Amino acid sequence: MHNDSVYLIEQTERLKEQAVGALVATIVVVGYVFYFVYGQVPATTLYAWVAVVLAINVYLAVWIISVNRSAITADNVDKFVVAYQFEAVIHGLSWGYLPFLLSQSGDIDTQLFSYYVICSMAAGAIATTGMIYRIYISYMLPMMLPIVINQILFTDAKLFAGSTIGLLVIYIIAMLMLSYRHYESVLKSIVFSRRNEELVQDLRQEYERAEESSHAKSRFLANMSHELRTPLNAVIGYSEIIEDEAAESGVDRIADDAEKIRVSGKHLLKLIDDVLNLSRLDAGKVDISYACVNVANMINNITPVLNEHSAVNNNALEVRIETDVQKLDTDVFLLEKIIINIISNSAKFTKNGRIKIQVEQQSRNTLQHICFVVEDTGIGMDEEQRSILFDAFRQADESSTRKYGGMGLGMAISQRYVHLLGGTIEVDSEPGKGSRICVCLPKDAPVELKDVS
Amino acid sequence: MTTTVLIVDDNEMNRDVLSRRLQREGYEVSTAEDGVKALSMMSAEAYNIVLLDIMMPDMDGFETLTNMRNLHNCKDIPVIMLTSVNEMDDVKKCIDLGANDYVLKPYNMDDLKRRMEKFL
Repeated sequence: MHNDSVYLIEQTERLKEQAVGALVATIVVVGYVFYFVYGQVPATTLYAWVAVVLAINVYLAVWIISVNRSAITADNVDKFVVAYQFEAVIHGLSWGYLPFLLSQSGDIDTQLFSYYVICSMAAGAIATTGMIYRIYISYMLPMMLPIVINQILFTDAKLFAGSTIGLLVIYIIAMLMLSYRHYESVLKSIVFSRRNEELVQDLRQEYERAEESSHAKSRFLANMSHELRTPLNAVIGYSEIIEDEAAESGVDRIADDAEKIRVSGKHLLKLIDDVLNLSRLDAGKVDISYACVNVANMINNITPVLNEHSAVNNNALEVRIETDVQKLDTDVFLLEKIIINIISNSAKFTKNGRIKIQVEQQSRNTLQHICFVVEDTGIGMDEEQRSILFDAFRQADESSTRKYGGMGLGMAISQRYVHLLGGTIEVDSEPGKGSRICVCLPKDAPVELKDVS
Repeated sequence: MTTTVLIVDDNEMNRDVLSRRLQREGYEVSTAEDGVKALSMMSAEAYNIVLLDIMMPDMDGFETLTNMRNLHNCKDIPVIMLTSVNEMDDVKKCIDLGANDYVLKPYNMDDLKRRMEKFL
């Protein structure tokens, strides 16, 4: 199965990682054994044993290094494991011979010493080979079983031998269980890390897909809005011409109709712009370029547009700029939109009334702010209406749309612009008592921007 | 003396609407459908003000503006960009390139006149 071989490859990689440590440990133990038993057993046999164990280890080292050069793949992993298993059997047998070697000393201590060595080798091998259970068994059993056989065959003190055999058997079973646990937990951790990787990969792909689709959406909206706007501009432009010419020739009926076309056209255009602006905000595509703005000039520039918006419900517009208001570091494009949107919103809910915009300087949190306060004599808002004023599409509640027209995206957009410019927007309103909307922007640009410009 | 205005816009209806409205206001209006034509007209005749669209085939508003500013006799002609809300970044770029102001489509005639008069 595909997955199994993937896990086996990972297990094998971990096995390879441990190989160097295992080799070093083995050589140290061999040295220790040599030092301890030298002189107690026939030297030639001891030398032969040391030579065999070292040879096996050197062979293993060379083999691992050569295997390391080529990657472990699903095709060769089984071969690798079988070869390692074979090597483990030989290696295990070489240690299994140790008690036979040391029993030649005839000294019970020396013989017990070989048991200790082998038992600790069996325990240590869990860490170095335990990630693949069959390799551990291939190592451990050839190493441990000879002790048991040795104990049965060569020990004179039968009672002591019997209890030792029992202990050894219990130890072997304990090691088998312990290593199986280890093997399972290694496998689990591999499965989890694999799954994690897959999840991260899925997430990244999902993210890229979302990014791509968001780009496509922005592109589509930009193109679409241009396509929608061009004919709409013609509709509005020609209806204005008809309106003017009909009014001049005294054909009021046609002038009225043309006005309706113009107003509807502008309304539609505003909707398109708002939806587009909102999507640009959502995509984080609104860039801010700070500049030093002369507030009075800016307001003067947009006064014709403000008048046009106020006049929708036959409202009078009053503009008042306090004398201490001079300059403001901000993005003039965004600021103009904010003010136009707020005035337009006020005009929507005010009939035959007054809309007043007052610009003043205020000190807030030790920072100088320029505040634009728009007050109207309109129907006002209750708490619930105030709370949804800045929610895109919430104002689109059918009843208010039908009654007052417009989806109210303007305020949602304005609020986001104000926040982008580091300012605040506050609403103060009660039903029947008109509304007061206050936009305060920091007078000076953020320091880092000021340095750049 | 009447003010001469050059409208550069690739959309025929846009040119028509704007020129008719400006003529009603007493301006003398010429039109060009792209940057190349506009540049050749400007080198032949001195206009008082240029209204320039951004998105145009062949030579767009940016290129036209840059070329204009390099032409000896067009260096100082006021240029107002004709633009839509979604082209704000482009407008900023145009102002960096030497445009004097911008006006949003569809045009509020009072607004447009006011912006034009500033430079005349």
